[in-house]
Amino acid sequence: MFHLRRATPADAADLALLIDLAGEGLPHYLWSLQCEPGGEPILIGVERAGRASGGFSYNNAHVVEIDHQLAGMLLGYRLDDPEPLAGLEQSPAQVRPLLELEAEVPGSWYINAIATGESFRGCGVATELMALADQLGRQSGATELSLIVASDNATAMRLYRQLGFQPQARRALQVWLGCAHDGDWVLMTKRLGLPE
Amino acid sequence: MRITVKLGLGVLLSAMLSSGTLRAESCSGLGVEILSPLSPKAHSALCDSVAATLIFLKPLQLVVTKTLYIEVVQRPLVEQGHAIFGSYDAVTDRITVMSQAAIMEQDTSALMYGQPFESDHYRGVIAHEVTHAVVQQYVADLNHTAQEYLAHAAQLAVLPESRRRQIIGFADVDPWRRDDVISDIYMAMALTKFAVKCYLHLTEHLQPVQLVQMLLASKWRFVVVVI
Repeated sequence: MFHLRRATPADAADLALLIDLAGEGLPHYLWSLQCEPGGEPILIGVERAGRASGGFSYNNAHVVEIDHQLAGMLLGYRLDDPEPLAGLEQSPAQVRPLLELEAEVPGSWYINAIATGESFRGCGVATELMALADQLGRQSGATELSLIVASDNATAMRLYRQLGFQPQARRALQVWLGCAHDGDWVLMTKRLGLPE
Repeated sequence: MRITVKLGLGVLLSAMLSSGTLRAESCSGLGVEILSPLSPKAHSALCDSVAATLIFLKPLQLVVTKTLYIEVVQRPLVEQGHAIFGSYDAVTDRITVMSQAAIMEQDTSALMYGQPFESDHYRGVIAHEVTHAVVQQYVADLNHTAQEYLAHAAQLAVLPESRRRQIIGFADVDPWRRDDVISDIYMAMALTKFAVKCYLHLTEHLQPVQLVQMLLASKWRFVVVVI
């Protein structure tokens, strides 16, 4: 069974894990900066995912369940038009290039994170979630989808190109503790058409 | 051209009717023309199935606005490489269904919703295709998922109560809930569960007419349940 639905507060723990998986550890690093000494950074993520508002809110997430297990997640929303950049200098250095790239595509439907649980890879979860992103973007009135990917993540770049995304801009990636990437963050966009 | 085709069919039917064993005629009072010669028993069963479907659809404000044409064939039907029991062609505006006998002869182990195919299920096949045809009279380009939602709900609705309860029990699922995303991939992977979720959602809904209107307005691949 392949069940798609909007996420709920009860999904917060799974969402935090999947957001961190999609962000390749950057979310965990950022949560650790906000964590009390000795605290668990993932709990900050769970709290954020469980909020009714904010970029990481469950309200912005859809999930796929396969046989009652959470198999994947899409976190996305329409970016403000125009996207405000106030307070950029107060943001962690690792986040600034991402915020700058987001500001380049105001009004687009932004795929903040998309992730498939490791045991569900190859089941078509990501394909379905990307198709849902396409629909949600069009339903929102946006004329394009946007996402950001690390330039050395060749597999993801190839997939997004196959789905119609094109590179639009890039910023140097600021490494974080445990970062597996080097190079740039690449902003990719895709024009949205009429309903199928 | 269209007239020629109709005349040709008329001549053919006249020849077959002259045998005195089969009849091709309308379902009285339903706005349905059956284009194939059928035995009285098969004709009666077909019309009963159509009537049950229209009774189910009417409170949902889905009524027949123009004549439905149904052809019953004795040959296998195939769509995109897959064996099917029936279809509705929006271009020719015609429902084509295999006869129950043809289905049984083609595959003695045929299943419907996980059960051996029987006459009850044939009733559901008719309901499924009639629903597609009726819906098409309202929205020509309704998305696949919304169409199948309504067709499967009607298919279950016309089954005898005991049969329907068996299928619902076997599926063991809840109705679609608000914020669920109804998808064709769910249907492809779990047809019986999909059908039961649709039937339960529609029949238990407090505003079924509004729900149907929401479905009819759906232009997208995924149907997000908002009411």
